[in-house]
Amino acid sequence: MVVERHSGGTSLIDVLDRVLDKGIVIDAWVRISLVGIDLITVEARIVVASIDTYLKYAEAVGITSPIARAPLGPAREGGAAPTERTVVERRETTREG
Amino acid sequence: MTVEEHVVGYGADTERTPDEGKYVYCIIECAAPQSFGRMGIGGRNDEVCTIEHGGLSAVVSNTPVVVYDPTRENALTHEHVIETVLREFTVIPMSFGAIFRTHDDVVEFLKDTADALRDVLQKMEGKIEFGLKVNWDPETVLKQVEEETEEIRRLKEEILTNRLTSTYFARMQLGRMVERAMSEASDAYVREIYDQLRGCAIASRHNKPIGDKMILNAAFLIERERAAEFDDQVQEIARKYEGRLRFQYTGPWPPYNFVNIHLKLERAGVAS
Repeated sequence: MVVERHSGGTSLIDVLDRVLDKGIVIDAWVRISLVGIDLITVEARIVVASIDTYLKYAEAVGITSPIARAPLGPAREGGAAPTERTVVERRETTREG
Repeated sequence: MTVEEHVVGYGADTERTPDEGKYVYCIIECAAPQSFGRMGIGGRNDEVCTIEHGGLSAVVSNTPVVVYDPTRENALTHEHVIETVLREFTVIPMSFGAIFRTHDDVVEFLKDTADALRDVLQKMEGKIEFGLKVNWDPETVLKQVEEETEEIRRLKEEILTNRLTSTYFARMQLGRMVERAMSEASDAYVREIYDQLRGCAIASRHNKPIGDKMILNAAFLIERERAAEFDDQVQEIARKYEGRLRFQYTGPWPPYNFVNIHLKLERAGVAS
């Protein structure tokens, strides 16, 4: 075996790289008036980075160069494909009373 | 990096235990109550269990309502719980530090975000993430590049032997040439690695390399059943470049790099 796969929790850097700002991120410090379950009004803005664009990106990788930023060149987060950052926004408002 | 406070909810009513909240690790699709063991965050060995609504479950443990710093212990606990859940379920991970004040707050959260959560869960069904970082040794590559590129070799020799009247411009030129050659070498490696791996990956995410030795910092989304196949491909490409590139291969992870749900909760006026 040339390279061993280490389980996620073995590298703190890799863990921090993921858990701090990826997955479901709650943006604001908020207070929701809440009395039992009879009243809650939450406005949730959900931004789901479209999986489809990632799939497209996977297709494009290798075809559209440059895909890598050399260490000496200007590095930009997110890679080369501009579509990768495309997000789908959905606004949901739930009101129950 | 600043870590935002993720305390959600407002526990003005004191009949509830005022200082106990629910730390949320991740969301799974599961109607039956689950217990994953006493390994909750906060060092009290709180039980990690589920709060369910409409077939979606939040994996939680009790905690004082405090802001957790992402210390080594806390971050690894967060990750360890998710990894445990990941063995049996498809997981949408929460980012670190999300605490809801009450059980009911968690239920409301599930209720309000159910459509998005189901959508993402469905897309992530049976998929896991692997991380791959690839490092090279810039010194070695530099030497190679100098040897292999005729014009670099010649220019360097001219500078060293002082045959030029002004070496300043020549040095600048040499620097640019070397930079371009290194960049091309890096691109070529990365392209080849992707070519090897994309056949059995569903998607990939290219993150910013860290430091000057890293040429690739990527995450791959893989069907669980094809994990072994992906392993083989990583082995193959690593073998090919043994001695030249160093591979750091991690996983399985929950699909952190492929799920990005941003929740902005606002107080929405006065409810009647």
